[in-house]
Amino acid sequence: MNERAFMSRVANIVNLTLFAAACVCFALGLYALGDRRDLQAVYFLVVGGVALRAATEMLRPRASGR
Amino acid sequence: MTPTSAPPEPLPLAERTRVLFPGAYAWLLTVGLPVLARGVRAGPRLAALLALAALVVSLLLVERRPDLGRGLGIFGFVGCSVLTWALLGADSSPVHLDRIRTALGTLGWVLYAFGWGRVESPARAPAELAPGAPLVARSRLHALGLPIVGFAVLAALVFEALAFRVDRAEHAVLAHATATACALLVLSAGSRLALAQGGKHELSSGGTRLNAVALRGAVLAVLVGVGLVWAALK
Repeated sequence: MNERAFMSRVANIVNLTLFAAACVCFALGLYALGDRRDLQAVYFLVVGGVALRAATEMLRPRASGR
Repeated sequence: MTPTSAPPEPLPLAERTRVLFPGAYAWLLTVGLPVLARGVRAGPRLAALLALAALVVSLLLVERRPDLGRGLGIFGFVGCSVLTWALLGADSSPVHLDRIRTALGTLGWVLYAFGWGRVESPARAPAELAPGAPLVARSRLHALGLPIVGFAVLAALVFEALAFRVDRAEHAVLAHATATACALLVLSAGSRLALAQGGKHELSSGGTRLNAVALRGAVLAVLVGVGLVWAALK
């Protein structure tokens, strides 16, 4: 496996991990809201939002014209 | 001329039946039974009768006057039903309604809406839609695509279910709104992620993708660190 393919695989794994982490954080946030732990809920929802944004940021298509 | 601008064709008997049964079923459960209750005034009953008449007349008219029939069947029938509910006032509030009956009636309304839609059969298709070579997909979905979409759908359902755990009234509204927003975001991101697995050539190189996420990754690391300190201090 050359370096390019290896980096692409690492990026894919990071991408999937961020997506899964975002889902878990959202679920934990809503669970905390149900347990009346409002501050924790806000914390988990914010972390989930940042993780999901990072996951989608990695899906930007390759810039064309170069 | 496009196929969509062609005048609507008359509905055959089978399709009329497909409209009549769900319409009559929905009317009976959600309009007819409520107005038959004791103490209901004449106004709602008259509106309900007009709704039923609109349904029947629309199906009789749709053969000769398709536009008028469809207009009467959709706007006349639904309009008179809405008028009935409006005239019923407090009697049509959810407190007085049987939940099972209402759910079945809703199903009837959905089937009624689908009944007015039609699928163009090949025999009646316009000449412009001549059969040609089947279109071939440009790429196949990656093997990981389906599990990712499945996970996203499952996560969205879990969010919606978790929102029902919130028992405080104001917070429950917020929880449902948040759960819906999270579900939509996860479904959107999940579908993009699934499609990206197959289209390797469309994405930037691995290094560029990792660099693009560096700043947000740092923010995430700080947030996780704050969370760990917070958990340790509690």
